Amino acid sequence: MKTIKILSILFLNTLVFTACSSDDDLPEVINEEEVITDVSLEITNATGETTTYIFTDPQYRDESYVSPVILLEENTTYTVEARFYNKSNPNNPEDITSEIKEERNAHFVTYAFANTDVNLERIDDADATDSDGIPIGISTQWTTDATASGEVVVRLIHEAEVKDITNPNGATIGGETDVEAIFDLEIE
Amino acid sequence: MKLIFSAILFMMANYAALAQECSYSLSGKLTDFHNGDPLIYAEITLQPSGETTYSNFDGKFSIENLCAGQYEITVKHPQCDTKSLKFSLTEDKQLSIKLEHHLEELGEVILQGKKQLALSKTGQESKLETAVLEKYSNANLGDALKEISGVNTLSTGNSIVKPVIHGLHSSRVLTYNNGVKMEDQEWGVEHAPNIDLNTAGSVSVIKGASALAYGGDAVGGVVLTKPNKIPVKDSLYGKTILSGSTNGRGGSVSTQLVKSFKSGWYAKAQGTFKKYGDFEAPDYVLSNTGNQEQNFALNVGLNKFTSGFDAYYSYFSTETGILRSAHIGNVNDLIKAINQERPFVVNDFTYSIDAPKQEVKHHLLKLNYFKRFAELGKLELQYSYQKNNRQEYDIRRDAEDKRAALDLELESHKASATFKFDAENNFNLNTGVEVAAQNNFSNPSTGVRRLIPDYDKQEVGVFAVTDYRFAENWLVEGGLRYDYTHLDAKKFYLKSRWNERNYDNDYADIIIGDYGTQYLTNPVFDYHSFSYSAGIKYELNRYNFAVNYAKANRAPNPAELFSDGLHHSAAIIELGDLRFDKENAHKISASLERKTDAFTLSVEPYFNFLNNFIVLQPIGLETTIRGAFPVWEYQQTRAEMYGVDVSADYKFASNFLYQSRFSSVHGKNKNTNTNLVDIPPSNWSNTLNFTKPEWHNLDLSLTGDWVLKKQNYPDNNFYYDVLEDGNYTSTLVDISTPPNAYFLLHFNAFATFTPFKTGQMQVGLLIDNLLNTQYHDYLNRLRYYADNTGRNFTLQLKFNY
Repeated sequence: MKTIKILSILFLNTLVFTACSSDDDLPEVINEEEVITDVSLEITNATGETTTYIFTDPQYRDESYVSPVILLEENTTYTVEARFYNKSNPNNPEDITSEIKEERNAHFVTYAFANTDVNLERIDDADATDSDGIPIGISTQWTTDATASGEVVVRLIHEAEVKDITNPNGATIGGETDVEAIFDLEIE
Repeated sequence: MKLIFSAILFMMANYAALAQECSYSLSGKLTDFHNGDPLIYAEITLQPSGETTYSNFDGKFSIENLCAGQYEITVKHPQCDTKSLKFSLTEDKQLSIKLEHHLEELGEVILQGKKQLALSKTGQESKLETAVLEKYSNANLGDALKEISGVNTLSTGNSIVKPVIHGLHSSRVLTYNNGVKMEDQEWGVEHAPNIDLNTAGSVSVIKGASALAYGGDAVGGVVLTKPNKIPVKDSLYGKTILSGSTNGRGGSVSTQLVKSFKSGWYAKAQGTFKKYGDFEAPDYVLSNTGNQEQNFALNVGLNKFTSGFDAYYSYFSTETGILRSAHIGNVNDLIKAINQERPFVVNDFTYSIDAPKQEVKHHLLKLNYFKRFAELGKLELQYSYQKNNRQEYDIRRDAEDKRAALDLELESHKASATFKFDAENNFNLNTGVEVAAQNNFSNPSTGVRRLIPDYDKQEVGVFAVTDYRFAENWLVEGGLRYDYTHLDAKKFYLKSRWNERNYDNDYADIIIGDYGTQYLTNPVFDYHSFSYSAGIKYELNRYNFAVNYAKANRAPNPAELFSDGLHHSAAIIELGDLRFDKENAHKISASLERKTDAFTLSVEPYFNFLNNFIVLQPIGLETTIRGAFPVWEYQQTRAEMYGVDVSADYKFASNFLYQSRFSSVHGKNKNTNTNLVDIPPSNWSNTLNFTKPEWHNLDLSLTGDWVLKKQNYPDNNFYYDVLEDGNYTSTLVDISTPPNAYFLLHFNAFATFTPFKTGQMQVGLLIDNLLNTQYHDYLNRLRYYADNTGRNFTLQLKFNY
């Protein structure tokens, strides 16, 4: 009898402790905070005209999305600003570029040109130059060569072990790719 | 006439008492409490007169010529608790005494170290005893289970280790911790069982679903950890194990203390602390692989033979670092990682653990009550509550952001009632009913979309298993089980994924909210499962032969239903499917055993036919803003798995023992006619053991583990265009080729000393990977990124007091 009493007390205790967890409400929506959904290249020519090309993550594209094709003139110099956005919450699009600049020691932007010749120079200000003096590649200057049709791959690498700017396009060892956006590139 | 006779008798009795004439007799019958069988050759002592006698073949005894007075009778039987009874004798007396036959406890002692067919009498079962488990005091459950032929491990680095039984793991292997089925997000391949091995006195493995009392969904098998029995006597004893290891530069302390009383009351406290820094491969530090664990368990109860209760609470908490170099991005990163010789990140040794890492806390509470009914059986009522909190930390863009990327809280309640009819010697019947309720909550404060959704799950199960020894050498076994599972989830889908999966056609009615880029949906599933098993066993002298057939059903797990995104450490996109039906398995297994004192051989072949078997299959590449990722989709298919486990023990000289374990398993996807992925390679382990009790119980053993190269693997390699120096080059991404065969040598030495007045101390030296062999394990999910751990020396001190 005694055992049963003790058991029932223990049992009741457990019920009391566990009965408080009830959530019938709808779960809270999570708009991904970590993702980058859009990368834009703001390309300005010598006359100060700026064209913006936007690459959107395939998961976040809407019907009106058209793949960007960058049009440049041969043997011309442009300044290029890379910008990164998180538009996973349509009501609250975020520009992450400033956050990347703040975390400049942990980030690095590389550019790779396929089937086209473009001479790239890193022209970052101090706010995008890491503690080793490496411009992380938010602001660059592109000088085109002859007419060609190809691609430019823009990568944002996080926590690379080595940031290599021997070739100003940039190369890395280690780290993980946060962004790898491919833009079509036409040099005419 | 009758009256007169009685009157005379009465007078005579009075006269006798007055005259102290000693002519009374005491007779009685001794029977087994369980089944009423007579207890033969029990010693009966009567005090104060001092007579001793023994019970005969009918369990009967008698003592003549006793005087009237107060007596105490004591009955002793080798297999029972001694029982005493006080009574006063004023006339001839007949006693009927039921003794508590300690069959179960006896079984534990006598069969120690041997294979004990107890949980499933015809299925394949193996058991590890305390002495083996103690060697792994500083390791994991999975590491210890590897000692059993047919059990392999699936690991993520060296601290996250899951048991694989006959090639199956995760949701297909049920783990019971002290009688409670673990609910610890076991579906995840990177989620190790949250059990402190030090709480277990023994661990049994049932390879398959033949033990239906434990669940009808054990497609792979069941792992059961059981504490050692606490004796019913006044005592206080304890044990402490200290381990220190060179690899990881850490160790563990585990201690337990037990207080027991003759009245049946007992209390036990147990605690373990482990800490390791970065582990090391032969050539480099495996950065961020440290591990820390704090566990404790409390247990109080009452064990009277006819009834009792047990209250148990355990807390398990672990923090485990995951190899930093294993956190990669897209296919380009994967190619670089596969092709490099060393991991990208090799830092100096440290104890600190950073992201990526896992932090898990598991609470388990169990209340158990039992009552035995004479000549009928045993009733058991049990309630358990578990709370599992799993936090996984990823590398975030903002290093200051210390939030977990995954934060799951799983609460599980379960109540069960079982009745075991064990009164008949040749017949047992075990029946039971279980109800369970579970709630999973994914904390939204992570800011990362949920890997698995919030859900509520209710389950009801009923089962009956029986065995019958129909002839002296023959035993049949059969079981039936029905399970009902109800799952009610609230899941967000990105609209793009929802449409890509074609859910817009099939599941439009479950959308309950529109949040711009995402839908909130309410999938509700009901699964009805019938499982059954049957087996037969033939025993002849030294030989045992058993065949078992078991049909298991498993409802799809949350990952298989709901996965819809990037799996970081694997750098793949995993897609589940709401349309899945339950998986079922038909497994035929046989055991052939030869047993003598010097030589034991066991051969266990099996064949498993699986329908609606859920596998992850690669279906192509998907481009995201992070680059391209291989897409792996869960698919249901027909599959076949077959293999054999062999173990042999040969005592070829009085101090020498040779042990050999071999296992081989194959798996085929019958729909695609390809091999199944992640099936363990064949392996052969040989141990030479020398023991010399006279030399401080010296025990030396040398073990060679030989793991073959996996031959039958699916080729999921693919080509990817890598941009190099302005041009794209098609590059092979070799994710399939298994690592080469390897051979590992281990050495153990133990000796026992008695430096204190009471108790003893055992000193052990364990050397793992003695030759510091560099190797990759096919079933280590991080094999692309780094070598396995190198040589390790462990010094272990065990104190029994």
